[in-house]
Amino acid sequence: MNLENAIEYIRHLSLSVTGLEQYNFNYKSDFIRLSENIQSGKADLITNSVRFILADILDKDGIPRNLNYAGYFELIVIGDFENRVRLVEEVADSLTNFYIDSEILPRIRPINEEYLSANMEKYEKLIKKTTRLYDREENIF
Amino acid sequence: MIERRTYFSIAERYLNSANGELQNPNPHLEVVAFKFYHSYECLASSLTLFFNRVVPISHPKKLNTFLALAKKAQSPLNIHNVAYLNMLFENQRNKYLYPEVESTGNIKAPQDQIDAIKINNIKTKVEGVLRKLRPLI
Repeated sequence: MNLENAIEYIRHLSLSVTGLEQYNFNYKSDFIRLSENIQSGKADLITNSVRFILADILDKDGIPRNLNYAGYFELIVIGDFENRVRLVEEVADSLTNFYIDSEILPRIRPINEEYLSANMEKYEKLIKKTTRLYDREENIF
Repeated sequence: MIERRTYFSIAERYLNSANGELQNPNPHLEVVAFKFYHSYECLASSLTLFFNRVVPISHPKKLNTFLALAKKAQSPLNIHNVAYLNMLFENQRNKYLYPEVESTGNIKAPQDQIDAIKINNIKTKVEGVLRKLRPLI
């Protein structure tokens, strides 16, 4: 799959964070606030070529799952990373307030966009379980 | 020695051991980082026991419990430091021990995950947590 199609497909598979509104989910406002905070720090993310930030918080049917059970969730960062270490630190910085409020640990998983688009079949199931917190080219709100 | 003090003394031993390794001309920084992590986790357990709570078995729950208790009024800790260290260690702990296979298939060795600046940052923060908890434990 080429990158352009992969981007559209990721948008199609993942649930926009505003889509959490339809569910009775304890952490709904925490994730919406996190998404807003990431948007406001957009300049740093563009420097690091982040394309999407997705949170793996849904079950296989696309419904928010109980995050207390594991105590953590995966934050999937998709992009073309030139300086990966700096990227992880900057995302972690914008996550601190989210973590203090929610007490659910984010585990950051960077995925290279070229690799992902060439191997989409490996990631489809995972992306279906995510909510989209950041999209470089489209405003989520 | 009661359990929370035993955890605290383990924390001190690992912190001293990490600082000892840093005196070497070429310290193994990933080993030092793991020792700081273990010291920190033992501090988390000692505060958990101070509040008469059971120490969780899973690492993320141990760290989450620590954060929740650090938010209490009696806790002398800086919440932002605890949140930062929890997230850092949750994301890095295994990388200090095992090779990381990146999404592209590249392999990153534990010694490539950490440098002297980061180690000093971790050291300062973990030592701060230990210093603040000492009078309480």
